[in-house]
Amino acid sequence: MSDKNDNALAKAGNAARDAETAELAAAGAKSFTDALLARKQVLLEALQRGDMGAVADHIHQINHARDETLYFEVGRLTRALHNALRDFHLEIGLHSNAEVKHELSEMADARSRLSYVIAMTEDAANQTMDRVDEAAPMLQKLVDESEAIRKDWQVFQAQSSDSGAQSKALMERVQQFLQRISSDGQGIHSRLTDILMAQGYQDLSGQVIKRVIELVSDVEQSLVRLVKLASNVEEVAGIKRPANDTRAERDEKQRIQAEGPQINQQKNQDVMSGQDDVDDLLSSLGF
Amino acid sequence: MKILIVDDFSTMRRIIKNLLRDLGFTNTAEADDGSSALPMLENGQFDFLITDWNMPGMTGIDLLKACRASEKLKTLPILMVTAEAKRDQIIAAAQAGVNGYVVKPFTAAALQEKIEKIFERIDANQ
Repeated sequence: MSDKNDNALAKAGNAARDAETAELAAAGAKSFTDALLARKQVLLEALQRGDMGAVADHIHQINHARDETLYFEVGRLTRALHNALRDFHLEIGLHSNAEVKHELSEMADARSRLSYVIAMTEDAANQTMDRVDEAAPMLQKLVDESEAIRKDWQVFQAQSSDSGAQSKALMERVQQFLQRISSDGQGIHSRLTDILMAQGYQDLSGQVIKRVIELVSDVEQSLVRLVKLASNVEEVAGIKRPANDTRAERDEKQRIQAEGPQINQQKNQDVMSGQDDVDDLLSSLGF
Repeated sequence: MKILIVDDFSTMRRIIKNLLRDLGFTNTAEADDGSSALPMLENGQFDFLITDWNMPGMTGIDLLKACRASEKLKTLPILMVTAEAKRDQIIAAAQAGVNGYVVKPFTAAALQEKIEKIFERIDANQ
């Protein structure tokens, strides 16, 4: 009952805050545009007069207005983030008793849960492959032994002086059964190989999960950085960009950077839809 | 024939190892990324390298480039077995000197075919 009320209240609060946030964002953008427009005329006049001191001064003021808008935006985002985090903790009940708190904080630990999925699927895949590894030699022994018996049986059948219809029919059945062990043995072996190949899902799903784990870490780190940035707003004016890579190098790196399994092949025309496409591309490259 | 299998997922190394065993290649070794594979290749007598692309540490494409830059490994046959399936990636691997490219998920037959093709071409060039 009280939970429901809390939820309803939280939702109403969220909606109100969203509206407020949108309004503030619009106001922020507007104040910068206003500042720009207000200086337009004087800036043009100063340019026409050739008064470079005044021009520099106006440009500085425009920059200042832009920076203020930026500080304002960062502050607003940070407050929204703080609220979102606080609400999240409230919603999952992190303020309640210690036992629940412990469990829920574990629930909130997405990365360790995802790592657990990787470990579990790896374990399951290994168990399956253990059984395949055990079954394959057992099968091979059966096939080899039945092949050996079949050869002897053929000789025995040919030399047999027992001409009774019943005996002949039985000997023929044994002969056919031994033959079937060989042929079905091959069929079973190829299915064991299929089972083995199917365990590749663990690699493919694991790669996707690892990327999500990376994403969660990145988001976490970005949030921490954002909060730090907002608490020391002066740093905003000197936004630093990584100076190492040139743009072209960065693009090249991004284009061929490892991405793991493609989970949306239809949507991405750059992605090969299967081995046949890859072979076509390679043969066009002279392979 | 000594073969090195490089993949960060032990499941995939095991699958490839089993497939190779079925094909009659029993002398295999494993590494979980390029930086552990490279010294093994430099110091050991490997005849063939099968590598994944996406690995922590040194990736498969960097391993491929490092091999081609090495006097000892510049002609080592290299087959890439990877989930990376973008056009630019395959072209980059081809330009870096890969001998074959298999996309995951793959079939036992596809792997066998690529391996045989690589050795046919090597035999033809000799």
